[in-house]
Amino acid sequence: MKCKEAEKRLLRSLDERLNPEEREVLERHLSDCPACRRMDGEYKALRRLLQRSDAFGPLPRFWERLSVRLEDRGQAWGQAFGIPSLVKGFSFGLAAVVLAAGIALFLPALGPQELSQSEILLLHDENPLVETQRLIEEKKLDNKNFMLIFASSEETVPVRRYRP
Amino acid sequence: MQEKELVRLSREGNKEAFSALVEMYKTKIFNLAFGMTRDREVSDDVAQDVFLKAWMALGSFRGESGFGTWLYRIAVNRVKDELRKRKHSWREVPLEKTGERGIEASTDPSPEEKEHIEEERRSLVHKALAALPRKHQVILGLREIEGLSYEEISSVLKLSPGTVESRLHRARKKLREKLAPLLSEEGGGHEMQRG
Repeated sequence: MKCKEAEKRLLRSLDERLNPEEREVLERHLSDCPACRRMDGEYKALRRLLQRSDAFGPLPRFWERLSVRLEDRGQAWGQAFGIPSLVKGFSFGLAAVVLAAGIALFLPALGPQELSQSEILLLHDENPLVETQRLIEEKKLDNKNFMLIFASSEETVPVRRYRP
Repeated sequence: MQEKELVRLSREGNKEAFSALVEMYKTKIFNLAFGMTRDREVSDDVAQDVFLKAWMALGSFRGESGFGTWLYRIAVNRVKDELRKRKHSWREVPLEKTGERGIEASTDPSPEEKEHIEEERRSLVHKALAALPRKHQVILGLREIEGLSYEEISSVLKLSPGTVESRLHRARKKLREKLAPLLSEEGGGHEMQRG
């Protein structure tokens, strides 16, 4: 076996991923090859030093400190993460319905629009202020009232508005 | 109480159940962070952040993987962020100029000396580890410090077991290469034999 292959097997042997035959071949190579024996020792030493690094644990009162942070976050988020997922799902659903209703109310209707009398006059290149002027200039109170009543009951025409 | 039951209760907002999960995993998460940052306070912060994030994201945990695997995934991302932040200060440490002793013990030292040498070696190995690419630091942390199996690592990192193996081998080789100048100082030229 070549040293390159031996290194590969050696690395696999660190994780106990060699079958007995492969292990035996490796052992034989190591007994004949001082360089690979040394390499084997170095890999094992590196591993031991990495593994022994975890001598301590977290700082004291870990849970108490964490608990305060959970509390703070819970308040900030309206306890959103303490609510069971079913309730949370329902809340989101309800919020979505309310939002959709709000949008529907405030969006301009998409159907045909009604034009006012003034708009109809403008559409026919007539001055809408003529009627208004007549109403203002009318001296007789009764006539004025009638004119106002007729003006308010004037028909509106459903037409699709022009949208530039 | 079983871990699954603790997870279920925690998802419902039961802090007592969550504190039991924290107790089960806090040292493991701390050690993973410490193995890579070598800073106790930073590692403690990292562990705190990991559990805080886990608590907040428990609603999205569907139990497809184990809770531990899921937690490690959060921890790995948090540790990577930490390593990214500290990248510059760490990589500028020239390993050859640390003036520390090599990895092989030379003579027959006293117990105090032995302890001192061991600490120096550990520090040396971790400086070399810190100089590796992040993905190699992470995989060595999960395998060597946490002792996770290939299958567990592949689940945490979402890699195939074959990729886990090749990445782990490459990481070990690189770590050994980084330490080569100091290894040879001890008279240990270890050039491989051409077979």
